Amino acid sequence: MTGIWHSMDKAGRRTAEAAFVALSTLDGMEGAASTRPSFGELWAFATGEAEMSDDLRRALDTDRRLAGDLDHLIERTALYRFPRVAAASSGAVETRDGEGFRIRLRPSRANVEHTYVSIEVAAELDEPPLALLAKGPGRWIKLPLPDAIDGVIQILVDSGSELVHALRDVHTEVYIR
Amino acid sequence: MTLVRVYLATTEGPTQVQSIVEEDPEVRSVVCRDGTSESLPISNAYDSFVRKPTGVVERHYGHRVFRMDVSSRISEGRSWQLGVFVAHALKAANRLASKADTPATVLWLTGEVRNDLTVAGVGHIEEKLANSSRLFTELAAAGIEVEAFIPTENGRPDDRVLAALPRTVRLRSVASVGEVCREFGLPDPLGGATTAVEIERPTGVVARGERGGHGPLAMATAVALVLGVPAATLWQGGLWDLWYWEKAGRFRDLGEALILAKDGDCRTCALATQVFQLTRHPHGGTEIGVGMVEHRAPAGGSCAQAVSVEIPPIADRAGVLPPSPVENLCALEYRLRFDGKRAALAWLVTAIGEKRERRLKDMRAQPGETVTVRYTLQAAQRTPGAVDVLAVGSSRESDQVTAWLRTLTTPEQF
Repeated sequence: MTGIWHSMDKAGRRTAEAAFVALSTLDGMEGAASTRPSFGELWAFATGEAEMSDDLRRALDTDRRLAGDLDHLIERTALYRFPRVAAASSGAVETRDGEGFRIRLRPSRANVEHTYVSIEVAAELDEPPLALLAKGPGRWIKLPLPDAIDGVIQILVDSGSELVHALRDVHTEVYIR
Repeated sequence: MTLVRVYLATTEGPTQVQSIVEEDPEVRSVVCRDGTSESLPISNAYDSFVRKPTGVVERHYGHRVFRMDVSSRISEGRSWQLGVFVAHALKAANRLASKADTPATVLWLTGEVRNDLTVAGVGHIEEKLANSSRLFTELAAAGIEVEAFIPTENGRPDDRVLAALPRTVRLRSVASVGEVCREFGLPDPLGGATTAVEIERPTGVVARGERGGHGPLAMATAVALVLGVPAATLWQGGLWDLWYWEKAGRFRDLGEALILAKDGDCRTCALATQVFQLTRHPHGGTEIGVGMVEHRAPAGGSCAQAVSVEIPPIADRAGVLPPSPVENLCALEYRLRFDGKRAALAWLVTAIGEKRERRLKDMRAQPGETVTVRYTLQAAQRTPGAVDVLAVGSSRESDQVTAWLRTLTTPEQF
């Protein structure tokens, strides 16, 4: 099974998913005494609706290989990866531009403690975006996305949240799943 | 300049419009709960209601994006539109009371607003009025009158609901938003001339209670004479609510009020509950006898060969059945026998298996009738603690009981 995830057709992706589930099951059977999170947990976080469990988060903090596995999995299964913001940029990032996507951060005028995260989806996609994934300093943050209206997905979040800090940081890598 | 508080009527109770603030024109309008970042499900509909060309707010008040905060969730529907439009009109006139303000006037509204600013009928008017009774009572106790508006298209609400409204609630029907605006000195976006129509309370109707002259007002007066407490105090102190809730089958509200009266220091509430317990209808409940039959497969056999055994309730614990061992258990059959003197309703809630699959059956039975409910257990459900059952009986319909029982999932909640 080779090939970049988003270039596969639906049948190809289903087959790949089945293979990953089988590998995960094998992990579970052979590693009965292992405390390492299963591949299935990584898969569920990277591609599904699952949030990151505390056990997985702790494991990622200490297991570099596991953290690398997750990074690769997200990179290979994401719908889109935003290019890094130019390192020469100064100050906080308010906009991230990508091919067919744009993320904007707008502070609420009504309440300074809240910020609007707007994701503009320029092109018709085969499947709607499900989540925004951002890798802040050492940890992944996931934001489930509602449906787009007129090509824009809007979420209201706390201005002090990890997500807003991560999106404003030039070093953060951002993916759309 | 008098401040006005606006309540949007919902089937879950009234929700207050706490604030409306202009937002960045580049985002979409949003409805949030109580100052938090929780965007409510009606946010997209609110945006459409505000923004041109679909919406009407921007057209009349200029700005196209707002953030509105309300005190509690509004999940769906369009009946919030009349109240929201009026709130925007008040906001434009700097008269919308915030969460912290003490209003001179309180509005309660429900209705859908068409693009031509006429008001369309909506559902559940009586339920919304009934579910606002606590608010109305609290405001009445504080000396605040309520101006309530419903769509003309809905016609006149049920007389029983009208009779239950405190005198401090003035109910009117409206055909356009302009009729509401003019009532409070706000610019009429339509420039019309029609007015809101007063909905009169029924006359000549005996108040709640099935004993003719022993209605709540007569009883309150009698008690007042004994206790030396003004009848009006008892009347507004919740006695009316207690009778109404019992009559309407709103047992949850009744239960909460009785607990509050018992534990709190509301003297009037305590008096009201004492009177209520003296005069409540003697047939307020019903009696249900419970029996159970186990259908169990023989050792090594199948459910096709199941043997039935009748299990009585635990001695001295009426209505409590002993636990059933799950080994070889194929099915459980509950037999509810209605021993009351009147036709009765019952709800049977069952939570099955580790996933707590809930099933709710509601049924009506005649006196002496036995209703049988059978649950066949699948193999996966045959685990310890597999089945929890709660039976509730009443002589009255109650959507509230049904809705409450639907939420129960754990034995502790049972």
